[in-house]
Amino acid sequence: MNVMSEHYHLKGARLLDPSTEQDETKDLYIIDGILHQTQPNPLPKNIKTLEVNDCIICPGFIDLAHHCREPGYEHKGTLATELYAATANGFTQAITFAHTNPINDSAAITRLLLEKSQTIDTLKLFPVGALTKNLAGEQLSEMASLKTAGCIGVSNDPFPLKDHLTLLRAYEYAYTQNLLVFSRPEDFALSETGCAHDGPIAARLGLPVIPSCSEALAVARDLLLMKHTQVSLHFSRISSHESLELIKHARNQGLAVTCDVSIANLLFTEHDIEGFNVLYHVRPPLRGETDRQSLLAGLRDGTISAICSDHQPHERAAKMAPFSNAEPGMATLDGFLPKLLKLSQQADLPLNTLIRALTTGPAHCINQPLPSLDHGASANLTLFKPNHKWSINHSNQLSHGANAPFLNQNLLGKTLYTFHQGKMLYSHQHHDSNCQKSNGVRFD
Amino acid sequence: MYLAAQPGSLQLTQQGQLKHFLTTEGLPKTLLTRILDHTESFLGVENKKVKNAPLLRGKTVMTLFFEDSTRTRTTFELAAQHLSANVMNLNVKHSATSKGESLLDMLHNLEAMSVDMFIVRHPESGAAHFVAQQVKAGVSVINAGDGRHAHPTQALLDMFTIRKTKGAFEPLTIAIVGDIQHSRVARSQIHALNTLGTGEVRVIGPKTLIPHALSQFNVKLYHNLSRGLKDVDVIILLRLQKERMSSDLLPSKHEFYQTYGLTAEKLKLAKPDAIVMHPGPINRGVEIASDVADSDQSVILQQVRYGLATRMAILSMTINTQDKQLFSEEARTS
Repeated sequence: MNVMSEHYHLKGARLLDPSTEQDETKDLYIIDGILHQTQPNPLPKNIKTLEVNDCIICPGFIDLAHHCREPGYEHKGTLATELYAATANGFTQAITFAHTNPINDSAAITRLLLEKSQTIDTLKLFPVGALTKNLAGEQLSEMASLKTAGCIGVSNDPFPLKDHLTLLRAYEYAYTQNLLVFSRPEDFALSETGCAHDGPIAARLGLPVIPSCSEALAVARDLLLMKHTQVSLHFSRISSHESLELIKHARNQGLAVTCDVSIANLLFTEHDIEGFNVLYHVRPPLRGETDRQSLLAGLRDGTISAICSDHQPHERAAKMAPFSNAEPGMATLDGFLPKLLKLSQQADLPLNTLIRALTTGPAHCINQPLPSLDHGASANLTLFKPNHKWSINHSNQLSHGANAPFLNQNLLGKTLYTFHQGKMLYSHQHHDSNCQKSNGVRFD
Repeated sequence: MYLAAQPGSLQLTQQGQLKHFLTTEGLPKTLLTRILDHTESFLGVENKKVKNAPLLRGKTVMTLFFEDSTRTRTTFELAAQHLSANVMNLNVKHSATSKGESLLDMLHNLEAMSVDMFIVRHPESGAAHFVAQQVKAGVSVINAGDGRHAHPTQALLDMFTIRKTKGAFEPLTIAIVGDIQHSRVARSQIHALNTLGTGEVRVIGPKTLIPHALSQFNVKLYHNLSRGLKDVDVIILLRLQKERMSSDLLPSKHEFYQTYGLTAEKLKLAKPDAIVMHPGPINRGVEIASDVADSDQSVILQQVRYGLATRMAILSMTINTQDKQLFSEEARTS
């Protein structure tokens, strides 16, 4: 089937587009992969009309922290399963970090990732290459080759560098290659053995800690190195109030630094690890309620540009261990959108702000064209129904991750369709009927 | 799928009986008091001609120690033997985990041997909770020390020692001195002391050895030993691990002794009838002066003696609960 030749009439939805500040109910047309805000004349004969009253259409979402498990960790999730789970939450573009096996520190792995993602006909993947060879923090990676192969930036996530001199050299070299550095700030010495926020819960449970000052110290260091080297830098997954204050101050001083926050740090706090609940063992760790409130305020005032999934699927065995021995990370994609919609209502986070943090915000961070619903733009969009009631269980879960926190809950809001360059990457009807066929389970 | 129960509900049955014994946190005062009362009935068992009671006859108890231990392990073993259980010891250092087998796989293999109770010591906080979540219904888990988190049987034998010597907890001021940060014993003691209604609990130590967030502990913090010891009824010293004596936590054992070591002179700051406790093994000339350790005010050897009776009480209370629970489940289903 040549999907490109399909044309759609999206009828009766609310268009919400932060790039043009459009917010109105209006029909939208996709003709040959291009958006039309007025009815084309003549209308193609084979155009499909989708009655989408009570739905919202936004430009496709951009995820600044997805963690592809392929190559090397296919038992946790494949490109096909995890990227499909992303499209089911409205994502049409995603960053993936280098921590695969082998590590993405060579042009060959970058090309492998890109070719594979193209063959499965999914969202646009932006690989981030390793900042240092094998992420070992000792030798610079071949950044020029990585860039030529298609890397959008470099990062040493998840391993903080021990040596400031190596870090300085790496930033200088990244600047030379005009590559964006993604820093997940963490001071090696202050975090090395830790697994939980340095707060009352970890103190009671006797867990080794990662204090907020570990992150803030690394933020301060990186801001100084950024000034010194002039490298472009983005802070990935900020979790503490102190870090945010430093970033705000630097931006007020005119430094073009950006940052994002993970959904886990917006929804949960250290209290969720009570009873040694390994599901909530994530890195950066879940911090205090004051930190969470600061992160929400940072989204409202624009200090934080984006919300990322930090989707890290694991097999069951990876989490079946005492808390600090369990692998960190959460498979957040199943339920990502409804959880954020609920947060928007509960935390006084306007819907426009939320959508901006999923569209124009992240695009700005990675210097990509702003996704738009504008007339003549390529049809990259997502369409969701905010009042759709549903729930996720093992029969309709999309990610392979056994560490999904939003299962068996009443959810409100569901993606119905996601389009990328005019192709329908995700349709809830297709997914629902597959679930019924394979499991005999009714999905509503 | 991984949602863990709160500590209280994980270790108690719906009727409030002990299913596992993992932490003193969240256990009601009545239960702690019952354990202490029960301990009383086992006291002096080592002096009796016939030492064994048949409370655990036919049961298999396995000690599963992932850390070195001589005293705790021996006491548990003896306690189980005195209760007529079959006791197996697994030396984990020489077992399959050193060949890469996961804790979970190892546990399932051992369960297949029909073990009724695991006594677990592990270097990671939460390990005993993890084991308790994974074992079959009817199998009990006793925490013999997990990371920095809890060492509840040690805390209970300490509570027994205090009650035996001082009577009620309410009028007492109790100071815990030394490395609180890395101490599972201190955490378990603090929860138990607060639950039992202790008048005031103090912790004394340098900032490097005190958890950053003490707010949930309901204790008074002192960095100065002399001030912290003033008019206390009980002084509990903690063992300072060798690797921490000269490190980035402390300059030297000499300086620690100078500032936080309990000498006869410092002891005079406490009430005249104050008792001195230590979970052992003691470092003479580091946490405590030799003459203080051997003085009349020291109850360190009583602690060791009470350890056996306390563990017999806990083992018998836990395994009997499991029996009753299984029996009632069978009755319901039949």
